[in-house]
Amino acid sequence: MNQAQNPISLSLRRVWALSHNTFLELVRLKVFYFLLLFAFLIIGSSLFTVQFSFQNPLQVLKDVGLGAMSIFSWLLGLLCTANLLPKDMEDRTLYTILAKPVSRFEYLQGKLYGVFLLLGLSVLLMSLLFAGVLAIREQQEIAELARNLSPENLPAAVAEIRAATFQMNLLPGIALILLKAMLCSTLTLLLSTLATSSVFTVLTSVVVYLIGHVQGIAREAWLAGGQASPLLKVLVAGMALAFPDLQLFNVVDEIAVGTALPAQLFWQVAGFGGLYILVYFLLAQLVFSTREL
Amino acid sequence: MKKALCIVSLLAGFGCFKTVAEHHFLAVQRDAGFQLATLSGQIRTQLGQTGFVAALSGFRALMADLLWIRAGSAFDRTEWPRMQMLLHAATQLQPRAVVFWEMAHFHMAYDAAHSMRLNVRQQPVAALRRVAELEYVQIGEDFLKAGLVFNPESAALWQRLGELYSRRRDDPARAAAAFTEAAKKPGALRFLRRMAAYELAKVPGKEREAYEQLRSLYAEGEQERLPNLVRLLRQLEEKLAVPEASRVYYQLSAPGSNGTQAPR
Repeated sequence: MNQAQNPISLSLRRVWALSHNTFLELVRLKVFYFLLLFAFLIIGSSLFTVQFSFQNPLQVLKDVGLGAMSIFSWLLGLLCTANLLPKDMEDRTLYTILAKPVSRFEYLQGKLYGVFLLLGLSVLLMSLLFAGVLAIREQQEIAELARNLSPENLPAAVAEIRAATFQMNLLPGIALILLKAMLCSTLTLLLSTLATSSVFTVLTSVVVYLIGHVQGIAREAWLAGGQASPLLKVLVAGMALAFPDLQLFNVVDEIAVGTALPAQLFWQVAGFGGLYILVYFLLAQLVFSTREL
Repeated sequence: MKKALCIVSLLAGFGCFKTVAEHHFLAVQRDAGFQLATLSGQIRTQLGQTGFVAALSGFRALMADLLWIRAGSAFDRTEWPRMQMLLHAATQLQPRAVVFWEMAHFHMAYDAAHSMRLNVRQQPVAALRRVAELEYVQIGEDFLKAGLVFNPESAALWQRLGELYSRRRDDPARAAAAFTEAAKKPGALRFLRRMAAYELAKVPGKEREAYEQLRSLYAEGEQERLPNLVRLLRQLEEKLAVPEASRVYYQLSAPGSNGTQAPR
């Protein structure tokens, strides 16, 4: 048997070629620019939104910026991944690729890494814009202080504003936003290997995303026991076992208000996210390896 | 069939492991001050169906900001009960935002309470206006106490609690305790220890303790020897009949001292 036809053979060169190609394909999609434009509009417009805020404008600015990054990275990952397999099948590219010495394992990895590259690029671009918006707002606040404070009180107030604007904690928070988007993309890929249409994949992924955010409530209720009916208990247990707890990755809400994220906690969540991605990818591979194409 | 079984067993095995791990991580995150928000029925009423779903879907902070902005418009229209509900919902969604608790307490214990006191047109009976005023002071106090449950290390919230007891409750004993607690917290402002001593000095029977604290502050150097502190020390020395030789004013006026305060 050809090495590449072995379902789990792996050549990094082939995987890189596939992911590079997938990335270029995705970057050329209109949906990428469309979503990125919307994300930029929301992050940029947060500078004006804060004017409606009732006190604490910096916090609102961060919440809007980080919220936009979170929703658009997820949407981008979802829409791009859901289309990968159906599009390749429709264009017959999938058959051409798999006819070459490329295993399904490599193909699936290449596709997923291509999406990860795209997510990395878009989160990087959004982060740069977010940093720019924060810097503008910081300058506005400092100018306001300079108008109202005496020169001897100004340096301390400026230092306080700077400390409140740029917190190093924001970086691990953004990294977890990216990780969550990557995890959701892997889940979408798994669903896509099971589904026959991209619409079904998109809809199911949205539902999984929503369930993932309330899974924690269900899990805690299940583990606490209580008076629920046996049927409800089975449902809740199933939900807790099958779906990932996406709420664990939502730490930016607290980071935005100044809560410090301990390094150990970050690495725990990041490692757990990595494990989720690995397991869901292996499941996707398991389904895809025997799928009739 | 074999594949399906394989998938189900992989999912179940991983599910069992991850459920335990998720439960553990949630506890770790809560200990570090994350994932403390609770989504109640009242919040659902304030946010509406879509907003509640958004809050459940990881956009909790954004929804809290939205409610905060709505509270701002309620403030503009002096709709205090509505503002209170909106502030309550916003603080529940973002309990680690100290500024939310601080401002919520301030608007209730000061703005709304003051508005009740002056509300002669709707409530001509002064005693009933006072009752309404005190109710809002209580709401403000409740906001601070709830905020301290989520942010026990916040010097700002302890300081506001001390100010509330001092200015709105006329309760110097509890004000002193709150200022003392505030002074112990990280990032506390220096004047909080003075405030604690000033308040303690007003408590009958606590004069000696207050005097000791003021003396200790005085001994720290020029930066603590403010006119109010020195004046209070003098009053307490008189009241407690402190021997002449150990009085601060005696030391200030003694030869060789660099005291610039006017002695008796």
